[in-house]
Amino acid sequence: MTLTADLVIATAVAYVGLLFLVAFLGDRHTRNRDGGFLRSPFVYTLSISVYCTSWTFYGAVGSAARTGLEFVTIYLGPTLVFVGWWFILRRLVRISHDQRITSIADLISSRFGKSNRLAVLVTILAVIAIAPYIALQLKAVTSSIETVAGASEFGRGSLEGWDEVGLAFGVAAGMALFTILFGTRNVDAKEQHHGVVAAIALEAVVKLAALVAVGLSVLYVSGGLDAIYTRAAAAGLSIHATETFGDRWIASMLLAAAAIICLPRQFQVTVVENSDESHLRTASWAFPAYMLAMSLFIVPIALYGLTVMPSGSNPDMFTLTLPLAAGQDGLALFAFIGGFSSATSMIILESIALSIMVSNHIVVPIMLRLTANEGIGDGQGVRRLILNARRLSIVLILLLGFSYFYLTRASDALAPIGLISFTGVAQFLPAILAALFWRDASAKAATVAISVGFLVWLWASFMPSFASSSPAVAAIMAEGPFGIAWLRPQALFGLERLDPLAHAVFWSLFLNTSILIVGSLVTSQSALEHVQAALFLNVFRKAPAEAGPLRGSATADDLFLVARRVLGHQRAVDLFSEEAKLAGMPWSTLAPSPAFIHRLERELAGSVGAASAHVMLSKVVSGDAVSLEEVMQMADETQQAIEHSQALERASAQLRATAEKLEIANRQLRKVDQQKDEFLSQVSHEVRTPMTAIRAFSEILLTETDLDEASRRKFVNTIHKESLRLTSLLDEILDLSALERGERVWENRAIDAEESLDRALHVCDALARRSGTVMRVGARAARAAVLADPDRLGQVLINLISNAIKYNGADRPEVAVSSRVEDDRYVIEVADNGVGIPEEERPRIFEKFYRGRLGESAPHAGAGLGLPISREIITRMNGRLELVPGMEHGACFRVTLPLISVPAATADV
Amino acid sequence: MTRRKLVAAALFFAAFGALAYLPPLVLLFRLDLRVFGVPVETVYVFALWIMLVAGARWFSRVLPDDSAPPEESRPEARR
Repeated sequence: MTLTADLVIATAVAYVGLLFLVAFLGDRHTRNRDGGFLRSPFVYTLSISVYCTSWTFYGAVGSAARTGLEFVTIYLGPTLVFVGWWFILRRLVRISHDQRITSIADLISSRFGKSNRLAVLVTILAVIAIAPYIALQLKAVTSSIETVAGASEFGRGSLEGWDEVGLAFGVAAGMALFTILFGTRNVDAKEQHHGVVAAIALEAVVKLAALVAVGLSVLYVSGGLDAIYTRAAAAGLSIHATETFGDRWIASMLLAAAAIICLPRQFQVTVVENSDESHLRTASWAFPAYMLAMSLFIVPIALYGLTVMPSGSNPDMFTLTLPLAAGQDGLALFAFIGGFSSATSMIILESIALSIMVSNHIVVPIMLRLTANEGIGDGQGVRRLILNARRLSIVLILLLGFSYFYLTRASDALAPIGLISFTGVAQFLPAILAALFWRDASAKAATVAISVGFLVWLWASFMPSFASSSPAVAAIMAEGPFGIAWLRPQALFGLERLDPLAHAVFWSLFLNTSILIVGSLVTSQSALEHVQAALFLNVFRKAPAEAGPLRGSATADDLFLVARRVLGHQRAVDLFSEEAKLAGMPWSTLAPSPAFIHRLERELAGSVGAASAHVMLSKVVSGDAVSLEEVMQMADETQQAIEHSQALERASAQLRATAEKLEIANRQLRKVDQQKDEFLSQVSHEVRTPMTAIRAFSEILLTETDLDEASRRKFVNTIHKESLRLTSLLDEILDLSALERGERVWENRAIDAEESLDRALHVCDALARRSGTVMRVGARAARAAVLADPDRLGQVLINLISNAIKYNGADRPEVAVSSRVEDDRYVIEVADNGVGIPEEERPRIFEKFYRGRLGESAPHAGAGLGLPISREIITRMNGRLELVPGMEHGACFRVTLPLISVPAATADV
Repeated sequence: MTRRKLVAAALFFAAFGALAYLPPLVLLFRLDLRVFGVPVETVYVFALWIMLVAGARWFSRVLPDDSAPPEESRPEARR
């Protein structure tokens, strides 16, 4: 086979035809079926490999030939990002699915309050930043065709008369046509292009296979790795990375890591085209593995090329020239197709991604503004306009790329051009990271930060690339603008020690990030920003808040018109039918719920971007749409209401508790009140008996004038006795009530309780004799120091003993009194041999006025207050008075008092 | 390992990868030494790369699955 320029061009065209067929079949495949193979994680991974462009295929070899290992940083950065997929990419994918994000501009705009200004800024900057990258592809394809043509013995064939610029223009025009045919056939609701992805995946396989084939052939021809390195070392090449791991190494690794997130096409394939989050899981190791495979043979090819190719040959083209020089025309053609593949896939996807941004963020908003008064466009519908806008943007983007190529055609290396683009798009990284992780980042700060970062990039990175073609730029580079030395593009603020790349990366990202942080700290967010920031940060919370900021009473017809114009008739009909079915009512009466409007907004956002979709629907729904400020205010009020009700709840809980306490107190009060009533009635009863007697006898004395002296004396005696009884009853009542109210205050002193007992026995002795009761004084404690009042203790003991005597009731009454010391207690027991106290009365004998049956009938009935008073007194001495089982069947009262350890001298004896 | 520890391990793994490729760690391997003819720093870079791929593959299997439940408007996620 003889390789000619015509043959490679024909092969390229045929290859493009094959890609187109694959894309077509892929689209049809996914439309008819569930996607199957095309939605496998490996196709997804291969489509991400669009990262490896002709910069990798040709440029990496050139880079390895010039600076050794440094080229790997371009792949190590993305490797690290994918290894850490859990932290950034997973978030990006989830957010973008939830919010129907269609591009990097859409993402940033959506996070910062659906700001259209920010979207336009990002779009324009992305288009500018990508121009060098597209120029790189054009340059690579052009050079590869030139290389083949130059090497061919049949001359340039039909390329005769075309110079490099013309050829590049031809390639650009062809690419534009191809991309338009490929990517703008329809507007997908989610901006997913399954056919294109299928074609890109095929290209990924082709370019890897081609590079590996060339690499293996080089290894085979040269005799292995050892031979290649040895020969390179012998040829005086530095095979060791002596200067590699410096500032450039760090800067380009950082750039590559940023690029895999920020490049519009990478965002498109990794995030937008992702149909299943779990694919990212596979890509997290498969994509790094792909890049590893791509990089394995770069250094051997470069070193072998440097040793065997004539000096002065372009190292960027070694991948192609080595097979050509070896006469392996088939391999050379394969290599050419591989390089062509990597360039076409990049151009197609990058221009599709950029055109989506341009149409969604620039064309559609302008159109909306122009048609502000007459609804949404007219008859034609938004779809055609969007498609045309995209076609136009594709042409524009490729034209920009070509212009850059034209202006910088004098420079030869590929890789530095790519790094310029990387530095440009890296300016989006701070804003994206802030969008993912920082709630307080504000739109104003992000706008200024990106703008400043970009200006620095334009000055320090983009402009210097024209130095070789523009003397004016070269002058500025050398002296600074107007001779201001500290503004020299590659030595800003006098920073001269850094490599130009690291210098541009440092200043642009440093200023960008600083402004973003400081700016966000000093500015405040709009209401919508606030909402979006929360949505972005809480993306992994379950049950996301679906509350749409739009609500109103737009009719289904109005909404349908909007939806049909953007989504197309069929999709709109499907959407509305589904909603009607869910709501269970016919279309005509369908009242769109806020949830449906929200869903519609997301669907529209999938086609025209979040900001535009929001504006579009706002227009229709604006009838009584609530402004976001109002929504926020409502939310605030709700929040306040919630807090208020929580406070109320707390207060009412306290109230409930208080009420319960009151209830209890009330119950006690009622009980006490009842006791008081009982007490009063008992007191009245007790008082009444003697009073009745007194009254009766005094009446007799008053009316019966002829009474004899003896009777008169007897009656007066009775009256006297009864009044004595009355007085003692009243004394007892007063005493008890004073005791209970704590008014009787006495001081407990240390005394000898035995002495009180002796006194009590002595007092009762007469009573016992009179009633014929035998007093038995049993075992006695020697001495008992207790804290008590001697008179009061004596009162209790007398009461107990006299009770035992009075209410004995036995034939031969006996009363036994004993005392002892038990542990640290002093115990007195007063027992009798009487009839005792019946079982059922025992619990009540300490109640007031309770006298028991025997007491009632006793000749000298007391008031029934003795025992309650005694118990009260003993309690006040920290002791106990209780009824215990005594001797035989009589009653036995026991007084227990705590002993104190007082020296005998101090005890009051 | 608990879910939290796994996630922390994944973060550390990625961060370790980044550190290992940056000075000063990478400078440890800048020796005038060749392994099977290949300069030692080149071997280091690629060996670490292989290790990262293997580690990422392990993590891709063990990291918890909390992908979004298929929504009504994403039929492709249903399958």
